Order: sequence, then C-alpha cells, then structure tokens
Amino acid sequence: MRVPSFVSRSVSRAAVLVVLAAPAMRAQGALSVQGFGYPGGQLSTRSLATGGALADFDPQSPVNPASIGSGARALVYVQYDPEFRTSTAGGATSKSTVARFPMFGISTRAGAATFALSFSSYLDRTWSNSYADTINISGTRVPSLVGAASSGGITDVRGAVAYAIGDRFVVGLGVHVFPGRNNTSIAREFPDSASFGGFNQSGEITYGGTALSLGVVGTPIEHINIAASARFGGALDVRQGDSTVLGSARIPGRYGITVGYDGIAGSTFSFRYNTEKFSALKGLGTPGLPIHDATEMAFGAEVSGPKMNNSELAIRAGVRQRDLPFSVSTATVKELMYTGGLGIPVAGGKGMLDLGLARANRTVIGGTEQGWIVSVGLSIRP
Amino acid sequence: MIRRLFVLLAVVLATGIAACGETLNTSNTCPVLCPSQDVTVHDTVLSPVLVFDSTFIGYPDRGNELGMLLATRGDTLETRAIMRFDSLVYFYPVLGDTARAIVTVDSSTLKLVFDRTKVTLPATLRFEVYDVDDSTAADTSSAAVLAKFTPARRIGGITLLRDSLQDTLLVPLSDSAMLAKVTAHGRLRIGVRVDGSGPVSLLAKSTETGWTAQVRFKGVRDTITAALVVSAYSSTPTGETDLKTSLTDYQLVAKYRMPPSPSNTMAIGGIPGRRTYLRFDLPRRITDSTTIVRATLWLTQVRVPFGGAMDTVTIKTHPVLASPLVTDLRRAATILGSTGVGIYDSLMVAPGDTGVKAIEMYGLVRLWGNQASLLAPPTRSIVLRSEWESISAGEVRFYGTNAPLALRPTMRITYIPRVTFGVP
Repeated sequence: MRVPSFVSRSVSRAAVLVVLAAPAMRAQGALSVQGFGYPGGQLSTRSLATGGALADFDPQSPVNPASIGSGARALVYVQYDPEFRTSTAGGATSKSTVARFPMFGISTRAGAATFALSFSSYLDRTWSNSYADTINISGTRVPSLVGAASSGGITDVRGAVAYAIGDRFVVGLGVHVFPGRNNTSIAREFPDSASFGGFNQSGEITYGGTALSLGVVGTPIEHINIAASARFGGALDVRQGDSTVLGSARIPGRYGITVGYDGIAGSTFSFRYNTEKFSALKGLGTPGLPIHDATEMAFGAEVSGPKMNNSELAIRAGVRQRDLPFSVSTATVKELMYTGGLGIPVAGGKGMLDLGLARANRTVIGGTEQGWIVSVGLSIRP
Repeated sequence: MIRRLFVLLAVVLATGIAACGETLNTSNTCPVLCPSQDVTVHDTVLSPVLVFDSTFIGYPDRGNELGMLLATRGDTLETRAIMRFDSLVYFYPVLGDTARAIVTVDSSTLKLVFDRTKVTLPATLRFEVYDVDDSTAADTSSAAVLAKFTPARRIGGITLLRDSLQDTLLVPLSDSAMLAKVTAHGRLRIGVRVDGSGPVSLLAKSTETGWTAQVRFKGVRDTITAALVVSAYSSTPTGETDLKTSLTDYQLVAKYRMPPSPSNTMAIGGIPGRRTYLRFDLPRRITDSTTIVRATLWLTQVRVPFGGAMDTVTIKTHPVLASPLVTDLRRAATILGSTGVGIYDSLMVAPGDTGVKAIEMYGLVRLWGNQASLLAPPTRSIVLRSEWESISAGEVRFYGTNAPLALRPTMRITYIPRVTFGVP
C-alpha cells in the first residue's frame, strides 16, 4: 500500500553535485507510472468526484491554500484511493491493482485565519515487473529473466494559512516541503546458473524539495465564484540514500484558475484550468527521460440530493482532461477521466463520508490504459 | 434510501478490501513500456591470472583411496591390492561343547568384491595372491611389500574367462599356508596381483567404499561345520589409529611409467594421484565491489598419449579453505571446500585431448569478494583433482604459469559495477 513518505529532510543547497554513470530505471509496464510516477493531482474524494473542478475551492484538497478558509472551523480528513488498472501495449495486456492512501490533513480556524497541515501524494512511483530477455555476456547470447520493482514516491507536506478579507474573499499562503523515497530493485536471473551468476541490486533514492504556494478564493459577483492558485517551486534534489546528490531540479510551478457558479439553489458548477510545468524536473532524472508540461481542464458539478437524517446528500459528477508528465517516448500521455460520487453526512452532520468513482482512459501512440479509481474520504469536524 | 446506502457502502468496502492485496506486476506490457531497464555489463580478460601453480603427487593418502585398482598395462602401469588380516581365528566352535583349537584347515578362500563400472578385461585373466607379511619392515614401506610378490610366497590364485568374472570373486587360498598362520597364531597379510591375456584394469572395493575383504576357511574337514569368516583388520602401527585403519586395505603402485610432465605444465590425476594448486591474482576493484556475472578460467590442455588417453577423466574443482597461515601448500591442498562450492560443474576431458578448456567459477569469485572483510580470509586458491584420484590411470595436463603467454591460464570476467541506480 502506498503511504505518503513523511520523511523530513533538510535540503542542502551547498551539496556538491556528483553525477554518476547511473543506469536509468524507467521500467514500469504501465502508462501512468512512467518516470518519477503518477501525479494523482492531490485531489480529495470530493474534488475527484467532480473531475477535479472543485479542487481550488475544496478545503480538503491541498491545492489552493486559500480554500481552507472556506472550510469548517476544524477538520480532520483521511482518504483511500485504490486503482484497478489495465494497460495495453504491443498487443499485450497487464492488469494491476495499486492501493493508495493519498491524503491526510487537519485544519483549524482562529478568528479570520485558518491554519492547515496536510500530507498528500505528489508522485506515486510504485510498480513491479518481470519478463524474459536475452543479454550478451562475454560474447554469448544468454537467455535471462529480468525483474524490476519500485515502491514509494514524493509527498507534498504543506503548511497553509488562509485569511478572510471581508465576506467575499479569502487569501492563502502555503509552504511546501517535498520529501520522498523510492526503494528500487533490479535483478536478472539466468537459467544456466552453473555458468552465469544472477544479478540483483536494490537501492534507495530520496528526494527533498521545497515550494511556496499562494491562492485566493472570492465571489466578485453574486453566484460567480473564482479561485486561483499558484505554486512556485523551489529546489528539488534526488540523492542516493541520504548522501550523494544524483540530480537537481526544481519543484514544478503550477498555476490554476477555477470559475464556479452556484446560482441554482443547492448546486455548484465549476470549470477549472490548471497547468503544471513539469519540465522543471529536467535534471532530476537521466537526460533521456521524456518530461512534458501538463495542462488540465476539468468541469464538474455538485448538487444536493435527497435528505438523510435531516442532512442532504451531495451528488457529484465531472470530467477531467489532462496530460501526464512522463512517457515512454516524446509523445505525451493523455488522460481523460469521467467521475462521479456521493457525499454522505454522518454523525449528525459532524462528519462526511465521501465516495468517488473515476474511470480513467490514458492513451498514447502505441498504448492505452484504463483505470477504475475508487476513492473513499472521511472528514470529521471535532 | 438508507438500505441502498448500506448496499453502496458494502460495495465500496469490498472494493477497498480487494485493493488491499496489491497486484503490481505489469510484466506483459514489458519491454514495450519498460525501456532503459538494463545495466552496463563490463567484460575483461585477466592474463596472467595466477600467482603460481604447483602440482603435488600422492593424493589421497595411502589407504584412503576409494577402492583398490588392480591393473596391469604392459610397461606403463601395474597396481596391486594389499589386505591385512591381523586378527585370524584360531579356534572353531563345536555345537554343545567348548571351542577347539584349529589343527586342520579346509576350503580357504579370499573374497573380493569389484566395482565393474569401469573395467578393462582381457579374454582371460589371472588373480595371484601372495603372502606379503613382513614383521621387520616399516608399515608404510612400499618396497618391502612389493618385494614379497615372489613365486615362493604365492599362496593362492585363480584363472578365469572374462565372462565368468562377476561382482564377487572367491580366490582359492592354500590351506596349508592358512593352517601355518593359524597354528602359529600369526597374522595374514595378502597381496593381490592381476594380469591376463591383455591389459587389465578393475577396481576392488575397499573399506573406504563400504566393503572389507574377507578370508574364509573351515577349521575342520566335514560338511556341516560352517566356514569361519575373517574380515580385514590392521593391528599396526600401534598408537596411530588413523594410519592403522587406513592400512587395513590399500593400493600399491608397482609400476607407473608415464612420461614426466614438462616443467611448464601442471598435472591432475594419474597414479598416485596428482593435484594442481592454483593461486589467483584477481583485482580487488572487481572482486570486492562488483557483481560477478561470469568468471571463466581458461586452461590450455597438453596431450598425454598414455594411460587410457581416450578415457574420460572428471576433474573436480575445490576452493582451498586453508588460510594464508598454512604455508605448506601440499597440506593446504588437502584443506578443501566441497566440490560444488562456488564452482557448480565438473570438467570432463580425455587425457589425449588438446585445446582450451573452460571452468566456470563465478560463484567462487563472488565468495572471495565477500570474504574480503575477514581478518584472515582463505587464499584465493583452488585445487584441481581427478574424481577417481589414484584409482584411475588417466592423467590430464595443462599449461601453467611459466608457459608461453598465449598458453597460460587466463580468466575472462564479466561483471556489473555496483552503481547508483533507480533514477528514472
């Protein structure tokens, strides 16, 4: 299971950059987890169910630091997002299941200010595979079995503060630390073990980075809500264990704006545009790693449903189109996602159980991938 | 409504539980979606790879052979078997009465059991049995024992056709000779020689292979008294238990006239058995800090046209376990790890063959690298020996460290450096 790595690591900018002749390890066997991994988008179950369109408004999604000001006085939130994935390439199909715990957050309000601390999965790089391959050893073509695996990822630890300016605007500031870890292994075994010795190396690489985010949520015109957020990336290093610096880059900058309309009683419609400059990661991996900036557009709706125990259910739906930052070739992987879900009040309105379901279609030249993402989020208002 | 919600929650719960058992393997879509999943393999040939090589003769120690070779091959080879019966029976039992001293002997035989898996038999062959006892000679003296193979000391024998030789053979012994030993309360030490209408070679089982030769005789001339059975046993040298046991039965080389090994070769096998000790000089930057994928020792074979030149000799390779403190290399060549430790296959060659032979030993090179942190690691040495050491005439020779450069032992090593990896 994927649990965000909460490793706190000081990032020394004075570290000497040592570039080793390190063999690349991009193998994943799935479109979504190429390169440094899958960016879930840091969406809460509520946001995911609306295709991500509510992310800039949603206090549980650590995207816009201003959004925490529109939430409850105090909130504890946890989330579980398993994905059932089917990848197809070269006429072959792989099915995989990955369990993620992508989010945990708490927030509290003091007067006009709201404070929040959250841990969310930024990039999830978990995969394993094994396959037959032939290798040339001292002039002999030798059959072998390759095995490779990676687990872990990069976590976004955000401390945020939001401040309400009047009734119509909230501004926010977030300070981000990006610790991370990948435990990797690569092995090659030979059927002729009398003559050829198997190879098995495991390693650990760690990440450390920082960023700053700003945001605003406001209602400039009645029933028209606007949210905007930006993240300004700081330095990001990848290290062998906790010592040798293997690569340096910057946390990708991100800019997003969302327009919402709540003019129909009990409903909210939102459109979000977001772009993330993943090309800032160049230098972190091997030179040949294809990295693409990712643009995201989402449209979603949340409407009130039938009442249960005097509280209204929330019914959500959305669609999301975005680019994934990493790919096998220079072509970008496109992801189209159809989403839906429910928000179920529990504990007499002191809590909310959010359920979401997303169908993701990822495509690139030569490959496709479908995934069912089930999302369960639980928020408690102490 | 609530009931429907519970159904929905149950579905979500079941889905979540199902996802707890992750299935991450996406092998089918590799290598299309799995690029750059390889490591750089380095390859190098080490020559010279040996510090030195030495050939030692006389393995295993006398009496520890896995059988006793009875061979007569013209002018090149003759071996004999010696069996000691130092505890003869001097009385025979009488039903319902006390045992009585033996005053007559009847139906004396020597029982031999053979391993017939590797035999060379002529049309007719003859076994001769000699009294080789010598109370004055040193126990380990071969010359003194060989000198006893004289017609006057012949006490038994049998001639038979090849097809009539079975696994077990009873060789008639002289009753009078046996009686003389019994009445004198003496010991019987027997030497067995074989020859025939052509080259002959067969292996008699010994104590080391689970069979002890027996002498049988009857202490009375009748048809109802069972024969007395005496198994081989050595009573000397006193105070040296291991040697005494070894000398219960052993092989004796009467003739081994193989052309001597050239000075720039090393030898394995032959009679008495030869072992080759090889000390390696491997760069620690490779052995101690890389993953060895393949390590092939190349040896250039020298033709030996004698002693069963086309009979296959199985060469076993053993790691030397002796530490550098053991400076007697002949002794170090006996302090060995089991075959199969680090070197997983044998080398099968014919003495009459030539060319380059390969021994795959990556496992052992890895072991040496792992032992680098020990205070007194074993030397990086191996011993090559024949599987049928001292009981097979086949002798294999290879060029050694003082041979011309192109013929010296070399090693090709394929390795993968311990590198930083994992970055996509």
